[in-house]
Amino acid sequence: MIKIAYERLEILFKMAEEEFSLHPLRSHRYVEMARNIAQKYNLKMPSYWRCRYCKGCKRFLKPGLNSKVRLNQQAVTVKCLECGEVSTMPYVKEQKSKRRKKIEPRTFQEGTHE
Amino acid sequence: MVGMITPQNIMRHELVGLGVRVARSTHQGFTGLEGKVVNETKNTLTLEDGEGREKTIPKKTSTFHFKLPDGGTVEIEGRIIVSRPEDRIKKRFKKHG
Repeated sequence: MIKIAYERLEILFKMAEEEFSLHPLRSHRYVEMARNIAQKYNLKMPSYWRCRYCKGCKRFLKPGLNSKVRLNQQAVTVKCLECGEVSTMPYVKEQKSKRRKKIEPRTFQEGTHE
Repeated sequence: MVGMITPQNIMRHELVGLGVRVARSTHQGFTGLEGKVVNETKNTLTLEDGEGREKTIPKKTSTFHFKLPDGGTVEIEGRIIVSRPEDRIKKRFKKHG
């Protein structure tokens, strides 16, 4: 049952993406339907689609057409051009893990030489 | 993930995006309509026909032929899918006696 719900979320977001250019109202409706399913069965939104709808007005967002995606202050900010809501997703953890990956092999090699 | 819709789980699965034909209806104007499902509410399905017009059809009095993504067709009585789209996942379906 939960598996079907996840499949339905996937289908609805794909349809929203397809329909957006011609029928934006429909894709907003599909986001609403997907949110209803996720709320009813207490599901996490798929990570790929989590930043594709506005947290304020619950509309579907397409970067470049009705949303603005920027990198500033170590965070991805998505601005909804319909209502002006800004949502931020920090990427500090990813930066730190990348730095650690660079440093760790070097220290390990130095240790073996001694 | 898409394309997992089978005749066994179509009552619980997503109808938006499937091709559909209205096989029977108590209102004669609705029988024979064909198109893609674009919206679903508790009591109605909305189709878009080939010319871009939208038709809203009550579920309760119609019988639908759904085209599955893998090519088959399934006949479903509208009477058993009368419920909100998010409620259909959990619904138990009685066999008509």
